Amino acid sequence: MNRVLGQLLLTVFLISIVGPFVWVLLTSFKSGANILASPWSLPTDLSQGSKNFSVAWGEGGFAKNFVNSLIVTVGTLAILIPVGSMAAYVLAKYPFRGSKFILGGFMGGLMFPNFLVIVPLFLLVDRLGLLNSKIGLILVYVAYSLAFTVFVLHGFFQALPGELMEAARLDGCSDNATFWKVMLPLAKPGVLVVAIFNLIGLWNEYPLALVLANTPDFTTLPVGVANLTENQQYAGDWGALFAGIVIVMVPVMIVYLIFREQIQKTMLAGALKG
Amino acid sequence: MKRRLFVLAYLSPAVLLYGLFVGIPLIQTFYYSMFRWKGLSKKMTFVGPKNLVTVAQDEVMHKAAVNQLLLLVCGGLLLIGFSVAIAHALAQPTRLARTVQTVMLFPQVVSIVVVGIMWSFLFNPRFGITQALGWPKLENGVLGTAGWANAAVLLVFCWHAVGFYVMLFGAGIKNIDGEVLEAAELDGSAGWHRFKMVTWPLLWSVKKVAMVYVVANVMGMFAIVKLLTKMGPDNSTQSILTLVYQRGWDESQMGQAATLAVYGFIVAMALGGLATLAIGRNPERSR
Repeated sequence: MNRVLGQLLLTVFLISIVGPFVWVLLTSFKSGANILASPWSLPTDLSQGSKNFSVAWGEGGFAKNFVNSLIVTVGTLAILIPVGSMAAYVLAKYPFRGSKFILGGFMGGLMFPNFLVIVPLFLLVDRLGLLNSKIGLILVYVAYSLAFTVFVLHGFFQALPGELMEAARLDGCSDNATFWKVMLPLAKPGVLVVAIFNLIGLWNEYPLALVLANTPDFTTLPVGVANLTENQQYAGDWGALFAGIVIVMVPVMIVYLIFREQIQKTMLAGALKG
Repeated sequence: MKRRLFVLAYLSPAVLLYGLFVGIPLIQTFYYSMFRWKGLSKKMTFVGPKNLVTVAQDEVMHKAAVNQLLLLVCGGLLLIGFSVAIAHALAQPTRLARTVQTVMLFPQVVSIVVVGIMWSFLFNPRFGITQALGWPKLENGVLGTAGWANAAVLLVFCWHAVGFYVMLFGAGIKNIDGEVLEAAELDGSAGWHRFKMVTWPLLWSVKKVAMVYVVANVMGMFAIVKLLTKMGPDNSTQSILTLVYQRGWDESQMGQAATLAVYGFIVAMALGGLATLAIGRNPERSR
């Protein structure tokens, strides 16, 4: 491709990707009246920013939503990572009749949008008495994150040489100890990547949380900010709404920037293998 | 024996959770689609395949299906064409290219809720881009005008997803054997001709993956439609999943919602299969 043309294309692309984010960030430092009067001017009074953020954080309910999101995300990971890596390990290193079938079952979950099962899932969670509870959302999140988690970790465990297991066994390690002391530490890079991936996905998750945990005490950040926008409670306070969006997006962007290379590598590996 | 117990103990938590919350509801969707019942009331009336007929005749469902198909074709073409171009431009390691590679996944890693709301602000008739540009002049704004609203959904969908496809095609282009390209050049093939005759056919496996992902992305459309256009105006941007939600939770027609989901499954599977077939096979293998 022509060099100049390529650079031009990239510049336009860069602006169109970054532009909206910069606009939201700048606008979150402006007052509602200022946004309506001159939406494309730079913020002049930076103290308005702290006002917007404190309104969103307090009256907007973002403090509570933030804590809910944190508990649900961390709680899910705390169950998902051990449960998922144990299953992936056994499926990769202890093949038995039917193990391929089970792996296939997990991978099948990657094939369809999970919101399609929402009707029976909603009834099930309701019958278990777990509707509008953190533990209910956590269990559902674990279940729906298992497909991806088992799929990726299965690949990592399979790549580890079986001789290491033999050596551990000869040293007197039980199957259980071999996993926790030898194999899991070796798979750490994979576990880390899977954890980050799930962290981002769980922090952002919207449709399931919308249906399963949608009372003010249990709303997560995405549901909270969506409700706020849809109800137009803040019709007069656009500044606080923009600040709310910034609160939701900034943590993920930071995590992404820290782990960018691993994240991109895993996304590619998952796509090209699948 | 001990080994068997070990395998069982390690596998069962995952299998039980997955079976309970994913496997069983998946099967139940088909079962529940045969009942008429409202919300959480316990009274369910068996109606057999009647819901299937009702939903098949539902005009809003038709709108959703057409939208989904249009989005698949237009979105797929736009995403793949644009990504291949960007991926080519990124092949030269400049500082600009590195910056683009860093930020291009931002729209994908922030919550799709953020994407939807952000663009609903950008299209806000009082302070959005259209107000700044003075174009297009529409009485109800871009998001309130059928056709324009659909274009907005398409744009936001592509904006959200494009980084992943650029990455995908970037990897595909990198994997092409340099010798093949050199050989083509020696044979007098360069520029657009070389792209058409050599590069594009050799990207077959990546194209296949891209098609499968486009189908999955389009079938999974929910938050963008719900938050950007609220399915409107007058259902003109409706999608299957938003209609499932609307029927089930706004209108308490759970049986119909399950039926819609059944159609969703069938369409997702069929399109996934078609996407794989459409790309065909490895051109390097014998014909």
